[in-house]
Amino acid sequence: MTSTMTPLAVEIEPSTTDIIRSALRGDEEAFEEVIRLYNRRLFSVAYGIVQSASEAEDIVQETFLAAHRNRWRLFNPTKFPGWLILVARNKARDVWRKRVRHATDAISEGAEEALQDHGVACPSKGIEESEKEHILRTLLDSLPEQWRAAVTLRYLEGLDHSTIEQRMGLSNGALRGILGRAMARLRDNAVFHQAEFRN
Amino acid sequence: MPTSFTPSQLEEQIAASVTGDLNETEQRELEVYLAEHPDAQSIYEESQAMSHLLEKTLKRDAPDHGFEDRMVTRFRRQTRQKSGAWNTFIAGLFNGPQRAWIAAVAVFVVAFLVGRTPEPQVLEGPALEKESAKEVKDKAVNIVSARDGHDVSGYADAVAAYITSTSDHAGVEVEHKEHMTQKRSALLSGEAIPGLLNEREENAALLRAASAAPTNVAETTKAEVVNSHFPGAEAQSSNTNSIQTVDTAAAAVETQRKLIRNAGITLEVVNYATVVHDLTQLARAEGGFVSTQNDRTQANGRSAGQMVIKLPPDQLDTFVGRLHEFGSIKSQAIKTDDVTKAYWDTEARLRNANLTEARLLELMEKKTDKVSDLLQVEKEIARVRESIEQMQGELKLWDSLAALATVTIDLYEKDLNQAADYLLKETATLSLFSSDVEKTFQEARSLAEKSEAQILSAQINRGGDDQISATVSLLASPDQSTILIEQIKALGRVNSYVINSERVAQDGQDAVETGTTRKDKVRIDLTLSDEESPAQVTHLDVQGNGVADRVDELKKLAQTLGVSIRSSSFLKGADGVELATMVFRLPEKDYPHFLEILKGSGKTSGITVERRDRVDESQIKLESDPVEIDFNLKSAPSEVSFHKGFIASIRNTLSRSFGLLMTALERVITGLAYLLPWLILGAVGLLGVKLLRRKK
Repeated sequence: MTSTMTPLAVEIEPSTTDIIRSALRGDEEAFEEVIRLYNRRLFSVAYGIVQSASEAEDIVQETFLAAHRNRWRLFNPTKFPGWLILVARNKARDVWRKRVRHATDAISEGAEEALQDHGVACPSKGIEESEKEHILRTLLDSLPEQWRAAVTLRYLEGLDHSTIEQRMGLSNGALRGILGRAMARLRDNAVFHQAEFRN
Repeated sequence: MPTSFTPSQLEEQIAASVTGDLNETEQRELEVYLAEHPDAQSIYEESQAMSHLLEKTLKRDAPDHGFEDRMVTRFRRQTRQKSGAWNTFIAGLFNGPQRAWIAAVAVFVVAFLVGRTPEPQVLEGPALEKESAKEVKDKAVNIVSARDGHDVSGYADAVAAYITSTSDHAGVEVEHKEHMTQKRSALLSGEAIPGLLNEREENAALLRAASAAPTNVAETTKAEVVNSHFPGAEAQSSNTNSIQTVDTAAAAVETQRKLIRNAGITLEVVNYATVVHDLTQLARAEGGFVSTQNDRTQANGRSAGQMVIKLPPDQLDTFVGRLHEFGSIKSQAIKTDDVTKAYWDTEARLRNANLTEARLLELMEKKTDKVSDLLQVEKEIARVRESIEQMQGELKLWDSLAALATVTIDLYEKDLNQAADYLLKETATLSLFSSDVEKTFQEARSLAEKSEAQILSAQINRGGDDQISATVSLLASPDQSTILIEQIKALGRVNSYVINSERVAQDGQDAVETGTTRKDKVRIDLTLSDEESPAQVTHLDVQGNGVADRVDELKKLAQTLGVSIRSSSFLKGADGVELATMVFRLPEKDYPHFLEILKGSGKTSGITVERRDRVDESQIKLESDPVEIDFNLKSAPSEVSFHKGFIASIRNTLSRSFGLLMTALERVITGLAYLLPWLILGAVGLLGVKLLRRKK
């Protein structure tokens, strides 16, 4: 797994540093500004892991509250964004792990069943849109975290390749490989749904 | 030119294409390739479909415009509703540049507080008793408060709980409780509850009494509980009645305690005889008596002595308080030994032993068939009997000690230490050289007899190598001694003569101008020897080689020259240095010649000549006077030593550094041990702050 515990180096502008500094000192308006600055970023991080908008939203919320609670422990404002992302990622992983633990059988078997029922057993039958999405999420869940994050950043935030590479700390052009492998995996797993996906 | 792709390259290109990352050239190349490869084309189409689906699905999940506002609003709600003035203050403390100062101040305050707490004491004896007494007191107070609330059943429960808690102790404590049980019953029977008089079942009695007549029993029991554990404890209750009952009960229990009281007093008096008489009277008046008395009178006419007075314990304080009327008190110590617990323990053990004995006797009456059994039982009875007697003796001793207090008074008259007179003791130590020891010995004895001196000892010692010496000890009367010493000195040549005089105070240490001085008999210690002390001693240090050979050479030479060798030693040190030490004795006339021979052994590194002057100048005979040469021959360190060289240095370095390392390690460990409480403190503090934050 890539960079699990080290706070990510996130580039920030000097003005942002000032805002963060006063936020860390307890200025709540400044903290709200920080929330405005980083909420989307955290959302995509969380979403990239949990693949659920509502859960991701809760995670972002909790992350900010935790940051506010523990702001006195952080001295360096430039490390704050990286720290936020780290917290959000860890919280998301907790949620993800919990979900996997609680429903390993249910989800995977359910997915299998879904594939069996709607894919092989009755290929000609059209699948409802929501069901299609459900299957897609299951497929996304099965991807490695890094691939999932890449897909999320591309499709959820609509970022271009170079921005994603920068955010994920990837070397130039590496994203093509990741997206290619992710796409292939998704396609292979969805091989039973060719007809449906083409529609 | 058509481009070819590996499968993974194709995947990358397709993915890049559907995600819009291919530039125009790349896109064209891919399209050409796809047109030629239908398989790739189908992959491309599937990827595109997947990409669409992803876009459609994920876009919907993308945070809407309200997301940001929701975050902020929720944040505001969460933080604002919880932050009070205090929390803001606390949070403010930990933010900003002042937090380092605050941390430092906090650490300082904690260190200060830690320093102020008293040193931890080993809990034993009185400390422990105090602790348990406090516990019991607390319990008792709890019981009272339960009663004050008129909650009878609650009170009964409390009493029951207390009884259960006391019975939790094992062994001796149980016996203790057993004893208490009896006392409790006794106390109960003293109260106005005749129905309970015969009840020996303590717990049941207490519980029943509690429900029947809560007030009386409550007070009694509580008082009893308090006092049996904590004499003199004052119940912390606003109820004055209850306090009074406590006091009465306290007195009742106090008399049952076994307290051994002693006092030791040193008294300086003006007239010894009068005071002894008065003290005897006083003791009698207080209901006591003089147990022992001894007097002694010093040479200066002053008297001193010791009186041991036995008194009823409760009179002790008044008696001691009145002692200052008789003289000035120089020291005073009153001691009370509480043997109550030991006493009760022994009592309980005695009861058990008695029961055992009774059972054994029973057993002996029944089982008369087997002799060995009988013997066994008899042996056991003897053992039990012995311990019973021992315990009875102990109890009796305690009883007698507790029944009467002992006051030991050391009395002495003023100016006791002033010496009445002095004795001047003189000791003359005389050492004589004589060529004929035996003759001189006889002469000295006859001189002593003539001057009527007392001969304490006289003996002649013959050494192994023709050496002869004699010692005579005399006691001469003071007026005769001077003449006698002069006469003895004339018998030979004086080697040494020392007179030691000492003024010894009789009866006491303090020096007083007025004291008279008497001259005691003079002791004369005479030593005769045919060995003259050397008139001159020369220390000669020479450094040379072949020490051992040279020593042999010198020995032979000394023999031919008639020089006697007093001692000779040779040693070889670990560093290869040879050292020979020889002491020669020779007539002074041969001295210069022999010294030159010795110097010829090597390089002279040091020479000192010590001349010893004769006591009696007239007797000096220069020519035949013996002189001594203390000769040291030392070789230069020639051999390679075990302690030198590369390996030795390395080993030395290693061993030394290891020692230092161990010392350092020890200090580090000690330091860590001292640091540990601080670390724990810090961790606890951090946790506390964290919890505080969490709550916020």
